[in-house]
Amino acid sequence: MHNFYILSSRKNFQNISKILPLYHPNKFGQTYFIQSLNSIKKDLPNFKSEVLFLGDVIREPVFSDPYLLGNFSLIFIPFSIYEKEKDVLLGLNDEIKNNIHIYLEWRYTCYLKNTLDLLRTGNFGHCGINRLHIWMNKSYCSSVVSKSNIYRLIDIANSISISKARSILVMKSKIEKNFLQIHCLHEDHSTSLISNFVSDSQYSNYFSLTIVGSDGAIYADDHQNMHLVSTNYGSNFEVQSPFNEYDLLDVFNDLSLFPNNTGSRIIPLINLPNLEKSFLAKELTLSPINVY
Amino acid sequence: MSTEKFYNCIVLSMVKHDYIGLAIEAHPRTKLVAVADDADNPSWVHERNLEFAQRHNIPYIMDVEKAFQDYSADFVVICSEAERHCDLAVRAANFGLSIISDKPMSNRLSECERLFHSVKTNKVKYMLWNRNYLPALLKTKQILTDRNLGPINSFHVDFFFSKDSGPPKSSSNQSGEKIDWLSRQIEAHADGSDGGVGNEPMGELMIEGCYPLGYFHFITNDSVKSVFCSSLTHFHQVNFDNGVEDLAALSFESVGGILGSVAIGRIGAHSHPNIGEIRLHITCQNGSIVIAEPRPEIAQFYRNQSISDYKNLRIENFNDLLLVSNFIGCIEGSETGVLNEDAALHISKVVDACLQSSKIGMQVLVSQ
Repeated sequence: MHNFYILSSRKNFQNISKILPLYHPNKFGQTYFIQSLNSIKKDLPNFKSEVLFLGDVIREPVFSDPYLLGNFSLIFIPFSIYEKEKDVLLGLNDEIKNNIHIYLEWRYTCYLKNTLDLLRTGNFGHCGINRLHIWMNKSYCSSVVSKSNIYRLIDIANSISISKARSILVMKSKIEKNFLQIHCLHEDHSTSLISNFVSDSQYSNYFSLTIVGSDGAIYADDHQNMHLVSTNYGSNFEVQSPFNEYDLLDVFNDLSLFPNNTGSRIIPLINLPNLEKSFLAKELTLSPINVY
Repeated sequence: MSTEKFYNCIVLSMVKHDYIGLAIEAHPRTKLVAVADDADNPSWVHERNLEFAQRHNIPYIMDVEKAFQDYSADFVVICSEAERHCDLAVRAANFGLSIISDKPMSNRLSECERLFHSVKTNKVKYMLWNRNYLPALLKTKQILTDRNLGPINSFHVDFFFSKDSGPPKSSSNQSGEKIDWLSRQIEAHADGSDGGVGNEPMGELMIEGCYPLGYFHFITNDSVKSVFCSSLTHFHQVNFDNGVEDLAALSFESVGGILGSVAIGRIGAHSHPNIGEIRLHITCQNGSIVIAEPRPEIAQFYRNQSISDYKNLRIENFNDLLLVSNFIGCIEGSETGVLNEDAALHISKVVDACLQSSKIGMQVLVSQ
């Protein structure tokens, strides 16, 4: 049984502390949602937790007290902060005996989770092209041109094609600093084409995934998930995008298997030192245009 | 009474799908006057030419130059095998006739360049048949202008055709015999999927690549500077046996700095309920658009519906009419060609660079 601290600003992460024991009464002990690490000492001095699950808005002070974090056997870090905190994390990882795990959160979005489940049926044959557009508002990703973001995108590509990238072309736009295009050749000879774009506009969120296999195709797409809204002022389409919604029950189903997680479910949890070599057949260096 | 001039057209070979010929026949200012081809062609070519001529009640002349002499034509339509496109076109240009050609411009870049120079030298007009006037493309142009979306940052096209192309690729070819490319294309005429007809095998980039690349040129008025391309034979045994791709992914950068990509393939009827997945994703400085190329359309479903029946029907589609009108406008000097010899040659260069890139696994510059 694991006790959990959950540190996050995200509302659905807060709710998980309430529903988690209902679904996993024998696997999870108590779960506390905390606003800051200080709460651990100040508000919950007698609560003994093995796990700290870090949510989405982690700032540098979180890592100012490695000895405090060192008390936990496992820390999940949202992947998006990896770039900024890489050195701190690596140092911290030594302190707490390699127990930092990177959590690949995008795999749990409704689109991707269901798509990956469909692919596992084998109905679609061998993967040929994965076509992915992820256009986001800045609240979800401050900058697309970072190693951490590229890892995250390539992780999706790898998980779809079920093979590592063997060759990657990363193209940065000269006219839009927050646009990134990736052409990824996988070891199984499939190709992933990814466009990733971040905008200030609150309406900019858009997701599109097309997978063309030898025996069939999958289309998971905001363009096909629209609702018509008509008012006195006119009509418009509103997208009901499941991309940024996580299936938290699935997330914690995986967590419930820790530390004995084996088989396919282990994939989203990656030890920090193994991160880079887990993603790529060759080391990736980011420059305006690289061909390997 | 209208004083507008009528334009006479000779069809130079009609061995594959007949939509260009039908477009000429249907346009109020153009008229088919003859079908012509060289006498030394194989019998199946003559049979198809004759069939088209009889259907449209026009003569079939087995001598191209004689047809030029005997029939007062203004332009030709070329729907031959791809390897003969340019030769027929150059002969027409040398006679002072303008040209509408089915895609591709040619399967050889050297032939494309020869035709390009012939068109310029003879001061005739050239159009590579295209889909740029589909309602979705016209709407895209309108949105980009009217909604003030600003300069384009990125441009992506999915061009997945769902038509089959013979038996699926199999690792266990029972007979061990390779499928002959031309025989397969002749057979494919029945369902109109014979766009690659000819003696020399062609992959999807060469057969269909002019469409998505034509969209990019039409929407942005920009040209491709460099390409990185990966391709494979993924679906069809005929492509595998003849060493030509049926699936390809292209990333490119334009002269104007736009990043773009094209995913293209003949993905098979099992992979899509309609004609295929054809869409544009465009991001701009002030917004973005996603366009479904087949729309607007209406759907039809009924008991005992044929599998080959199109479930979705395109509507408001005046592409053929508008293309022919544009061509007439070019001849009369009032319009610029929507996909003229300049754009067609550039697209041929891009395709050639793509094929080279997919072979060497490197980025390739496109000569301007």
